[in-house]
Amino acid sequence: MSSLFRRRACWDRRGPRLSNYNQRALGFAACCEEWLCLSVVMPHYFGLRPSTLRKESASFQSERRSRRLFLTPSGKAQPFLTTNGEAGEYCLKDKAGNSRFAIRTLQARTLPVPTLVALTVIAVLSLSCTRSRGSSQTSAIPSQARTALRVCSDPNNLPFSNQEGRGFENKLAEMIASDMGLKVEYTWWAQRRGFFRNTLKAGACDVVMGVPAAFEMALTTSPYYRSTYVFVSRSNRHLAISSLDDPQLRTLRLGVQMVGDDFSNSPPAHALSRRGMIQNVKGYTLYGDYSKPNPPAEIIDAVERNDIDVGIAWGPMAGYFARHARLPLTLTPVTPQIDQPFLPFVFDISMGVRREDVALKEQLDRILEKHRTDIYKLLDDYGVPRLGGPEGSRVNARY
Amino acid sequence: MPAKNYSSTRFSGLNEINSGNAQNLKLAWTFSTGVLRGHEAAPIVVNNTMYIVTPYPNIVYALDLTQPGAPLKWKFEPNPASASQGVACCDFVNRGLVYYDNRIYFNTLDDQTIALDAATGSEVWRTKVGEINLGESITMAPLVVNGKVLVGNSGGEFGVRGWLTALDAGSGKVVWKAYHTGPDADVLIGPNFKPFYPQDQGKDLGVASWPADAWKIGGGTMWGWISYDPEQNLIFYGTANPGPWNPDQRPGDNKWTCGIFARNPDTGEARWFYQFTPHDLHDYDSINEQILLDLPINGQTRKVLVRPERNGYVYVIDRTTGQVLSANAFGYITATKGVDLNTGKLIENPEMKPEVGKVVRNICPAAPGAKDWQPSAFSPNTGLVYIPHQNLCMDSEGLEANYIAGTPYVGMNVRMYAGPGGNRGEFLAWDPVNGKKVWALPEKFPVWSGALATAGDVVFYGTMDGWFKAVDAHTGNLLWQFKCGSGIIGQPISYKGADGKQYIAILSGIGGWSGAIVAGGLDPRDATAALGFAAAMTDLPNATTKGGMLYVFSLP
Repeated sequence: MSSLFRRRACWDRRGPRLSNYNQRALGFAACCEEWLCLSVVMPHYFGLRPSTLRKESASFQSERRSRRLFLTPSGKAQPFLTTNGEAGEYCLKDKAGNSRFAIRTLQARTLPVPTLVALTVIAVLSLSCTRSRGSSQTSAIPSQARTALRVCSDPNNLPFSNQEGRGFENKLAEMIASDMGLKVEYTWWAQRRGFFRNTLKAGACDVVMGVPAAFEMALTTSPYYRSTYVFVSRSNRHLAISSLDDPQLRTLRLGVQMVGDDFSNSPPAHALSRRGMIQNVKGYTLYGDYSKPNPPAEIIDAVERNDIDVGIAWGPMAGYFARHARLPLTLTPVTPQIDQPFLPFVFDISMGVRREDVALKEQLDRILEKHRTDIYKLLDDYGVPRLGGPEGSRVNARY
Repeated sequence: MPAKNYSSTRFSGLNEINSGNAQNLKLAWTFSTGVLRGHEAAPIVVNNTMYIVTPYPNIVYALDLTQPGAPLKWKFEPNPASASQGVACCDFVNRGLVYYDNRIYFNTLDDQTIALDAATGSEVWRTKVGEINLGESITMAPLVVNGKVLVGNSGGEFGVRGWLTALDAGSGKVVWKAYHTGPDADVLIGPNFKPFYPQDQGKDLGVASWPADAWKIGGGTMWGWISYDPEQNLIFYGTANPGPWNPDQRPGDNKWTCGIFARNPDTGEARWFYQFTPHDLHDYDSINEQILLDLPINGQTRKVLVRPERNGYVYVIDRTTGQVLSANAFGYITATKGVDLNTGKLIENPEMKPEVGKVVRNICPAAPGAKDWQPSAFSPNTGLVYIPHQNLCMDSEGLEANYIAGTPYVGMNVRMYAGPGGNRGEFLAWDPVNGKKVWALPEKFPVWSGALATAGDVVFYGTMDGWFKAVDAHTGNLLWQFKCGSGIIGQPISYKGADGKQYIAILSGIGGWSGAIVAGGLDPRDATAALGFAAAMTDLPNATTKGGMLYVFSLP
């Protein structure tokens, strides 16, 4: 089964919660080897892949329909938002390796910390049934032995981080470290291919402040914010584009960011080419020119300079640079949030630690939950468009 | 030069070591490079001195072969920028240095070409030819032709635009630079450009075969091998894959990527071009070696180049015109259905076209191709080409969340695994005239080392688990093998020592794209690490450990 589904973290409709969904399956009668978390809005778990879908049993289909779980392959708009906050788990494979079509739902709730610890114990006790992969070792560095929060960070990538400590991930690191009674120490490394290998995995530092919640190369905390790709245009154009299917896109000059070959590229790059929009699309490498400040921001400059009419970029970066632009820029979240075939424009962001640093991950989870309000305020200060959260989404249309 | 000669035969005329006595080969001496990354370079021996360039940090050593144990004569440390490690795609390799006119020329990972005095190791000049801040790096071995040092860039996955440049060997000044995408003026295509096939003829195809401005970040880098034909005064070399765009985002043939150029080395002017893999779908860079031979084809001797290509076919091409004379599969292929010799066009298999979100299984060869950079050898004694290569297929399935420069995105989940037979590598003897396999030795791991053929009818290669092997050039029978300290991805050479004896030398030191799981310390649990290659190599860390070491062998 794809690694996509291996790490599970669920959400309720109010946004990221430290909830029992983060724990391994509890008390389910069937001895399930591998669970897929179906929990509603979590875009990383969008996929029962098409091949799996074709094989799904009639009983699973009806179960899925009756529970209004996501996955309507022909549906267009945001099927995930119809699930009413219901979280569920779907058994992928039993111990004998057979596919199992069983779903159970979980009640969404936030757990007080002592309960969480108890649940962890239960989860460990039930490992015979639900073997957790590669995350059962103890932390390499016991938290009481820590002298600093050692953060792996890019020295030149606002709004996330820079060497002067001006990024929101820098501020967040200070917040977390202060709660732990530690100071922050950085290992600086351009966040390109090899970043995780040369920093976190090499043991040079212990935490990466932002990674997708479903990131395979690290053990991830509960997500602490969710953001979205956005359309960015100059406000005086009054384009009001919010959908990839807006016919205006076919005639405008569009900009997307390129990641690399081998079918790895930004979601808008894939989505536009699938719609046949190719000739009017300009590519900006996400790596940019590293000799300049904040290389990925080039696409926002291009909107300001009128090189392109609309840029489609990751919200946190776009929101920050739009706020600092000379001209008013308009940002609108991209819809559909999940484009066909299962292409997410919305991502949950967690912190990442080494796979074996379970204790650190759990400590971070607790601190993140404790400082949720502060974190939202911090993100808002940086113009990060947020989806979800107790006080609702915060996506400013205009900066 | 690493390829031994301009024809790139990697054939040594020495015959003291032969198929009758090779079993007596003994270790003569060793040398530790002190570097732990993948050692792909060939040692070079000139005037009783051996020269070695290491992977990043690209140290050059000169060893005195006149003294017992070959003591160090000099050492040169270019101190490349450490940031260049962040732009190298697949381990920090270097494929070799070259000796020309009392100087040593080599490239650094951070895009410098450096000339050293061969006798003293003192720096003569250094020229910055690329920009790491834009994702360019250099891993290839330069070739010097007519006083021009030829150098190309790496970094297609970073959206760089590929080029080959010529530096004046005396001064280091850039003489010409030919891009591999864009208008004819940039590609150095002029009135003397006469490609054989109609699909390569026309104005500004390096623009017209791309959407809008996509060629500006179109890839087509050059990190492999160059050969030279003095009679025609032409160099031949291939170009890498188009990037960073996905195939759907770059409809068209994407010229001049994944093809081969013939150029005048003095001016850079293009003479002909042939595209092995138009509109590449599978990362089949065309940077492999070409061996220049005169072969009897259909009753007449033709001036050809023989190219075991990444897409799995051995191409025999008329090197005067660019016409494809034959293209026969040497590896297991499902991605394409052959080459139409009338049109020169590769026949795609539409079922193997990967699409985002679609599951496609059993794409063969996998992204590293049936053969990657590791160079073949040719023996005029046997008329056979000795091809080290891999036998890998891949599935592209589902999508995976990934993250770079603060931005989450999705990438296709690619997994590689052994092709038919279950062996991931093979060492193959190929008859280029009849287009047939003569013998083949299956190997557990991809054969990522170069090959060496000798006049003693012994052929040498190394394996990724560290065995250095001598086999009979006619039969493939194993004559001798030696277990080196680390896996072998280097290029074996043969030389005559100061004592008149024949020696065989090889650098061991695992790494490269295939060996990154060891050299880079990748986590075997990251199935998609090294672009999916790590999944096929999870047992390599149990088979070898890292460490750069030179081994030299001789008869007692």
